[in-house]
Amino acid sequence: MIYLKSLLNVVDNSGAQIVECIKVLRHGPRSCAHVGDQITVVVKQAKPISAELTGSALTNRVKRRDICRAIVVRTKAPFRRPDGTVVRFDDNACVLINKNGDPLGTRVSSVVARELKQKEFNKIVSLAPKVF
Amino acid sequence: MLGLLTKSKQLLFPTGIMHGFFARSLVQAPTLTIYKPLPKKRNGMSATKYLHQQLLKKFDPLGKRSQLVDPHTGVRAGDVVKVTYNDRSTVHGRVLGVKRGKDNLGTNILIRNRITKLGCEVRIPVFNPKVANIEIVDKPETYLSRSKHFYVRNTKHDVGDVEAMLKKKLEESKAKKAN
Repeated sequence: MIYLKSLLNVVDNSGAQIVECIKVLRHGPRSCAHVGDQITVVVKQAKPISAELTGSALTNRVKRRDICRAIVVRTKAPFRRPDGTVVRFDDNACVLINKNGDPLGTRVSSVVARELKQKEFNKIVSLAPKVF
Repeated sequence: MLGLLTKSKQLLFPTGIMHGFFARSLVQAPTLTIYKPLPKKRNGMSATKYLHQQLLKKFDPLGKRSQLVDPHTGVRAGDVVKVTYNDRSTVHGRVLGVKRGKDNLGTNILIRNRITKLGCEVRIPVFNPKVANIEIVDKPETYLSRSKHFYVRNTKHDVGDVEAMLKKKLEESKAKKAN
């Protein structure tokens, strides 16, 4: 249940910590984003950029007020799987991506939902420490 | 069969009225055939109950799962369970509550675990044919009060990393045996 103004945690090392959803992409006018959906976000809170960063890690770094695309990886609202199980996480979380659909960061720090595998976000799934 | 039954009822009912009506006009009433009532189906058991019983027999022929969610002897909120699917993937977690259907397949258990410090909950239908086994791995020494533990979320009673806890317990028991 991610829609306009929802705040999400960012679980990659792109530098963003908290983002706000400003658009749910490819959905009806009143529907909300679930796990595996793409959204547009504004970075509300980010880690300060340190001088040690170089190369691609620096170029992929995001700052406060940046606008990015993101994939929802966890939702607090329970969602149902085809076999009848219902899954719920304790927070709403996303991973920032670029326009090609590749993640901006090089790491995913916590669990992601299994639905991402079916939606072929294989890069995020392989980076995640655990798939639930 | 059902049509026959209703027909016989229809025929039964108006005879009385017709008798009175025709007796006054001195016309002989036409002879009506009254059918014998049909034997009751399923010994009079309600259709839904019968259906649920059949489904339980189909999905739980040994009665193992029904035993598991028995309110007195089965799994209880606070127990740690391990659910194995047919594709051998497993889910560990502490039971927060058992939602019981009344003699039907609607029973499910709510399991909570903490993976990478994040609470993950899953509600698993007990009679799901894709679930190969549900096993009680650990029982606490003292149970918390209430049969549904929704209140433990994000409190000091909250579950920890269940898999790590099980590992630790196993090692401790091994060390005890070695001594």
